[in-house]
Amino acid sequence: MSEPGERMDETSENLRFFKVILSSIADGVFTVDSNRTITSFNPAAEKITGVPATKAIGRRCFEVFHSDICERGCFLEKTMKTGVVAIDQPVNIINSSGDKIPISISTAILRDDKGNILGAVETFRDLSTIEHLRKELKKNYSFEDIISKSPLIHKLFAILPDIAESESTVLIQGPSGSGKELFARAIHNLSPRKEGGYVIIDCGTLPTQLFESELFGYMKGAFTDAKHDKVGKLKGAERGTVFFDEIGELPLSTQVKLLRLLQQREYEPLGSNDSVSADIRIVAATNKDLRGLVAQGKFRDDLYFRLAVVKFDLPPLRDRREDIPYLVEHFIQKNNARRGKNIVSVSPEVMGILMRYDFLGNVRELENIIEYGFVVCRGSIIQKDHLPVELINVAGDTDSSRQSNITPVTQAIDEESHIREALAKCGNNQTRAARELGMHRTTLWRKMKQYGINPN
Amino acid sequence: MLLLRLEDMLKVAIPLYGDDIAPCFEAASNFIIATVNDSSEVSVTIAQCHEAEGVGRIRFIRDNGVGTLICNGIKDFYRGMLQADGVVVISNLGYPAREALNLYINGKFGDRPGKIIPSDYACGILLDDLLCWTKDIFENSGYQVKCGGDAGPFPIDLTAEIACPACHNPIRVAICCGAHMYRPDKEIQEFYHVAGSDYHARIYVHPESSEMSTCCHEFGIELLDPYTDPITNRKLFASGIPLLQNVIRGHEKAAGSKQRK
Repeated sequence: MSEPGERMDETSENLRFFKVILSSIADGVFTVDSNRTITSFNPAAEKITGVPATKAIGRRCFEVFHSDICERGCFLEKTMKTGVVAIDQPVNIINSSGDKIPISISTAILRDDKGNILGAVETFRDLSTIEHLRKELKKNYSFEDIISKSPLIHKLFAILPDIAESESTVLIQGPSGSGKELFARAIHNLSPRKEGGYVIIDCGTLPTQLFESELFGYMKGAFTDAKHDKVGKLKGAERGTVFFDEIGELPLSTQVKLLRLLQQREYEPLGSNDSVSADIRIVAATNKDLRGLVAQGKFRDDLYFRLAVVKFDLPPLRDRREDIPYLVEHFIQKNNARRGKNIVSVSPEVMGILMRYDFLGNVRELENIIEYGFVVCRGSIIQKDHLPVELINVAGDTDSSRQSNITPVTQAIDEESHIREALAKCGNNQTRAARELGMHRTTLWRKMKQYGINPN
Repeated sequence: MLLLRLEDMLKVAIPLYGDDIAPCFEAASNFIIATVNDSSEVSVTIAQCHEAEGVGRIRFIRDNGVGTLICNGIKDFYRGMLQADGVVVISNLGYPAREALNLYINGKFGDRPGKIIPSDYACGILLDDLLCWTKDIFENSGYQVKCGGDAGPFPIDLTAEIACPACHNPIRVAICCGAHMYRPDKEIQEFYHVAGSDYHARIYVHPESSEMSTCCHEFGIELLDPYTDPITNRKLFASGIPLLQNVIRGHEKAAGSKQRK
């Protein structure tokens, strides 16, 4: 039998072990008392929620997790009331930055030696990576997936739910890569038609002669190779949405066929005399100025007015530069999930270059740049060296002379004498001298060391 | 008779969860809608929002003519939508709802930003310069400094060690120079997680601002501002250990010995 002193040693040793175990696991773990006040919070919980333990302990769990189920049916409360544990239940929380984090939670009850309920424990796992991949796979995007801080886009957000709910045909105008398809999909996903199909027709790549057969389908014998009936793409969008991308590329001869579909909401498969009614909603997008094309006679005005019942323009990325940092973060997360890497961010220098760049290819170009960075970068931060060369050349680098390790001799002599003069003028006060020279104190300090200038 | 001018009135909405502010705006179904003037509430009603989706709550706020939303958790996306509609959003408040309303009327809450906007808080100093300066400051203060890969994993740039003036045991300090990322708040979080509890103190080197101070304070990290001269301000080091402000656990005597001096 062990002595009381030994037992105490054993208990404190166990406690120490548990602490180490809880600190080392990747799942968030926290405990609450019977009032749902947090009593412990492990490092993984801190990382997932963005809330340090010192701030979380003592607060009620719903004040920290901001979960969508806190009100509707808290699992911890249920576990404490009924003793029934929750296992791997999907839940969304909002972290300290205002981002939605999908997690799965499990709960268990905590009792003392006599069986009295002390509280409960919840373990939770960050599912952001899985959610990222799932969304990419299923293309199940919503408005919430559109990343923007721009007032221009937020104005659109304010009206888009109403647009989505209506049955009106929508025309989205914007330059290539500005996110037209994402908006179209979000309109569909938020509309009463979201359970129906969502079909994309890329008017830019669909050959004119195949337009009808692809869209409307055909009957056996309609043409030489029509060996059996084929259902058209429109059928797949029944009670759903058809997205006509790059509608401005549609030749005049095809426009008339689309016009009929828009006017009468019915079509005839090739080789059939029977009309098929189409219960579809149409969303179209273009990177061209359709009104201009109408004026040039390249786009039918009657089709234009049928399409532009509700019309909005997406601004190019250079007109909403405030979104660049947020998009960069999004693409880093996306690529981390896709490539199993753990890149944390980009350097301030890279961000500076991106903020100066004009992004003719818009958001898509930015995504490609980050993807390139992922291929080249071996560390945790995407640095300037990890950017495509042409981007650095175009964006320019005003700091290049400051960054360079190789200083031309004449420039160095000039610089050294300037520094000595400034220091003498300021009575060796480095802060004032740095201000005089237009550089930071730490830069002055480094240069003094480089040139062997004695601080005194 | 007291006549209240309509333009002096403001509608305030607070999502409810029992008597508290609801944890998640997007999921709340009951709201306090209070009409307030400069210094008091004029009317308070409880309204129900039957919408299933988060955007439905945006519509609800708009339809009720709300000018200020006081809430706890809110997704950045919805905050942006509301702000585009001209609604002031005061978030992350864990209070009883009535108390929050009274505090608001008494001018205790202002608008709070969502994420830190990177361009406003970027370090603005080259990483190499910041590293040199920090290393020099610590070495001149009597620390043994390790740099680069010897120091620790990213984003620990330097580790510094000094003997405690009271007990002479080593005190280990992890240092992160805040110029790796364009988002200092994220860098601070990363530093906090990487440095863990292996160090007696964690120092983040970055120009000071109220946001930086709050963020560092939240994570128990000391902020060292390269625009100050910490060596000449030795009296500031309440820990009794050079360059460290906070009293180190287990080394309280060092602070005491300094005070006695």
